[in-house]
Amino acid sequence: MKCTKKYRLTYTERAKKLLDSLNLEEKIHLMSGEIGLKEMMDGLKQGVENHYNHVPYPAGGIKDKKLPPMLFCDGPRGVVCSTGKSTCFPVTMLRGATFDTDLEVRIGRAIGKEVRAYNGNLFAGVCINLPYNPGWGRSQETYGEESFHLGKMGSALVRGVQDENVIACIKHFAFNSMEISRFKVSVNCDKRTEREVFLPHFKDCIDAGAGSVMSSYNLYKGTHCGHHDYLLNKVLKDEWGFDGFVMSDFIWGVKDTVEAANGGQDMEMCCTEYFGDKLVKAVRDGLVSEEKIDKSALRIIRTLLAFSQADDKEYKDSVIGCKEHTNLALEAAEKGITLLQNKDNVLPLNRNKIIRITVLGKLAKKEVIGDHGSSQVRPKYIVTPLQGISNLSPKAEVTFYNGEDLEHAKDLARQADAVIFVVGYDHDDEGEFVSESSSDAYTTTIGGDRTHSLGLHQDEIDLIKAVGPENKNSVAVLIGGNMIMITEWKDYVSSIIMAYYAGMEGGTAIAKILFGDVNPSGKLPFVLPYKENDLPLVNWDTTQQIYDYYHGYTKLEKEGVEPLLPYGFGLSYTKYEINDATFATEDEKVVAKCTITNTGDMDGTEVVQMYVGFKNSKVNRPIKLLRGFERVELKAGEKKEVSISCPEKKLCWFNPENESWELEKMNYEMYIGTSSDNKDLLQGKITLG
Amino acid sequence: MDHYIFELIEHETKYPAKVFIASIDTSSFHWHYDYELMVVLKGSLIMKSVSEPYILNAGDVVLFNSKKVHSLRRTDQDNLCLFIQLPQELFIDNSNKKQSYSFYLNSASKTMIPKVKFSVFLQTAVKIAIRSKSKEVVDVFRIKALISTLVADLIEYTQYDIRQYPDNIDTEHNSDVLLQINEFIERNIESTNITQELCKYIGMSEKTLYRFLKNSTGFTAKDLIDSTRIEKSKVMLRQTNKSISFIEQECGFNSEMTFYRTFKKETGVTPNEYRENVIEIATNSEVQGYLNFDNNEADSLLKQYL
Repeated sequence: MKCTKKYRLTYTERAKKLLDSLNLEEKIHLMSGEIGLKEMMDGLKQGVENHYNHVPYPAGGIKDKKLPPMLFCDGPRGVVCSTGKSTCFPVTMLRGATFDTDLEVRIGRAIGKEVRAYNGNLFAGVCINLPYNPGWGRSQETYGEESFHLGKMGSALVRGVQDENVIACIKHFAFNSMEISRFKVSVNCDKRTEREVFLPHFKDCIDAGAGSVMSSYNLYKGTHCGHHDYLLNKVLKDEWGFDGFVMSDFIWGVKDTVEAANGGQDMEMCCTEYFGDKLVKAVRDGLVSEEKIDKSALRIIRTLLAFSQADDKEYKDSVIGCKEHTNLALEAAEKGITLLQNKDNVLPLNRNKIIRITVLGKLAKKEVIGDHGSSQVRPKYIVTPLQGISNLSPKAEVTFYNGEDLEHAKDLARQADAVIFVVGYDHDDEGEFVSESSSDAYTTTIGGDRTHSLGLHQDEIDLIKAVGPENKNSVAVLIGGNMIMITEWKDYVSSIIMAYYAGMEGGTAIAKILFGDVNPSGKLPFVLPYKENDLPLVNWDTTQQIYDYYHGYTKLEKEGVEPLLPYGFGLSYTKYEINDATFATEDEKVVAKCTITNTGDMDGTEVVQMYVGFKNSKVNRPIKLLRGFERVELKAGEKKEVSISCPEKKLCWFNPENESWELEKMNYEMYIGTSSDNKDLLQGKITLG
Repeated sequence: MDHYIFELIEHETKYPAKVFIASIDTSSFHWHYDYELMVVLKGSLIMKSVSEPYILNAGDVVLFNSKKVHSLRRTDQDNLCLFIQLPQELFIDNSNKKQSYSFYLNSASKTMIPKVKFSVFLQTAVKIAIRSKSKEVVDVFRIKALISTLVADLIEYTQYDIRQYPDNIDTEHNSDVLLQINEFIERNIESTNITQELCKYIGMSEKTLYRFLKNSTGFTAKDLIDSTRIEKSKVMLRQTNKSISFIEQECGFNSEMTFYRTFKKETGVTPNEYRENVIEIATNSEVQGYLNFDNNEADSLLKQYL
């Protein structure tokens, strides 16, 4: 990455000089979006060519001073601009399931290239909000429930995007993991929860060099995050030394001129309502100091100058949606799709024996790439699950039925050699939420949180329970953005795969895994409990919500509740064995090593995971936390050595009394293995301090 | 089998469908590439497709899918039916040309019910039929619009399967094989172990033959053979004076008892009763199985359904 923080800071002098040549109005002009409100509203109807962000959205820029505007492109599953061009990658949650930071860097670079080809200079697709409860409608846009993992994957995307000299904007800062109430909810939590659970991954991405941050709609402890002096000034800019600029989430992210400007907001997006003239007046009235304006403008100027002058490469239009990128999308889908259950090795399906296939479930024929909110990408083509299955089984007779009439579905299942259920969610069920008043809206889908249930729709449960037993070769393919409950029906099918929203080549990837062309290697980036109420309760429609210290797998482990499937779980078509685990400390890092062998007949890839435990702690800490992971490719029979390390800093707890991070001097349990379940881990210990 | 060749067709070639009204005596199992929508305008008849037979009455509407074998037979009432045949091309989904729809539309069935009333389909069909008599230019366009509506209604409101056949199976070839089987059965109907001879002729094991027939027609070999025996015996009962026992032997039944039992089960009457009550077929009726009817009656019936 050329435009690291260090590099950007070398532009401070130049930026100051430019700043000094501007008058107050010009400086404030830099601090706002340029899209006319009406223009954006008019364009934002589904199916209209000029959809949301169909071209990069500009902000600021002063032509005669040679300062380019910020040119905003949304994400995260690809570049949102245009129709029929951009590469649509699998959603972030699937990419989280790959546990592959190298892959995420490559995806970042591909997206960065496409942003440049669209003449954009900022990619606002690094969403790293931690879902407190998996019902969050926009879960698909984030990597999973573990802060450490979010930090690693988010940082990788930042590096990739900024390698192409595009500003990576991380979002939404902070505590934004409820959709229906996102404009009105005030989140509250204790100090340790704030620092140890919900903020570290943001810091990780800042440390990785992210040049921009988007503040969120919600409130934190009673103050809008777009105005939040503590979060934006104290934590982000002072403590973490963030040198870039903050922008608000769109239109309703700034609600008060003075509070926002003083609270650390640098740029009102995507149109000028509270800044602009109102901000000029506030400065003249002495409510906001000009010094504050200078600071914000400097950040904007410096970041834009550094990035825009980093290269003068021309990116051809042909790079958008090119074969290399669509292949990458397929590769990501193949690596993230997770095998949850496979009784009697029903999968992979043998093409020589399975010649009649029945596919049930309306989602099989749908273009299931994710919600229709601000993250919607419109690629040239989308391979549906049914198309993927049909394309990859040319010798088979494939019959599709939506599954409405159970007797008919049973008939079709009996007549076939295998039955595949495609079930789960689509953009009508979950996703970015639009308010009821359409004049308030800038996307057109309903979406929202999964307020009723984290399981399948009742008709799909009935379908699986009625029809699954009719054919031993039964597979359920799950579509959705986060954890889907399987307790009620998992015993009625032999195999289950979680396909998330798998991108434009999703159907191809699903089929390749079903038929064994690809050995699945994804791991769950969230826990799958037996009961919904093993997870924290959230009131989805509220103005107040408390986030507890524990959630997801840490909550289940702390309370001694066994999950149905643990965090980090994923099967494959081969078997792996972990041996010879050793644990040590070196250079202020903890290191776990082991050997891993592919003891089966098929080449594959395993994700080796490292956890650290805190049983001896004097304070209330999780049983253990993920602190490292690595993908290891192994041919059948091959054995490799794995070494995973983690800085000691990541083992600290935040002491609220002296507001600092402390490393406890004690014995820590160390684990290395293939999921967070102790049965899949080899254990040891190390002593620190 | 002659029934897949329709001679008595009054249809316009200006719009993408064949529309005709006919009175059915018997139309033994057959199939066509087109999707065929049938509306019973008057009387009743018996329909058999993949599953059990249905009695269809006036106001019933049924869709026979492309290449799905079906047979029709009159009851003791006169009947009048409207047929609209829609070519496969109307239903092809451009994103995948190998896939074809199989719609479930049968107002006599209690399962797989569409999302709108059957009368929606009936009305569109009747409107098409009424306009098809006109020679006006505007009516050609109206009919085209109505046909598109019919196709859209099928896709939007009925339950359907989508089927894709394997690359290496030529469904045309399958249909040829089916014809060969039919012809063989007809030619060798007086034999008492047709099935074995058929297997030898066609080069399939009994199990393969069973699967093939079940998949393409829904019938077993025995069903087809019995059906052909009955058809032949009907012709002989109608057109000759031969004795029951002669006919029984000629048609390959094992015994008179078997003949009686099978015949009554299939037609509802004994061979003798059938012979006594047979309807005279006008000698200039062009296609076997279709009866003459009164055009005016047809017109006024159609209007009643609107």
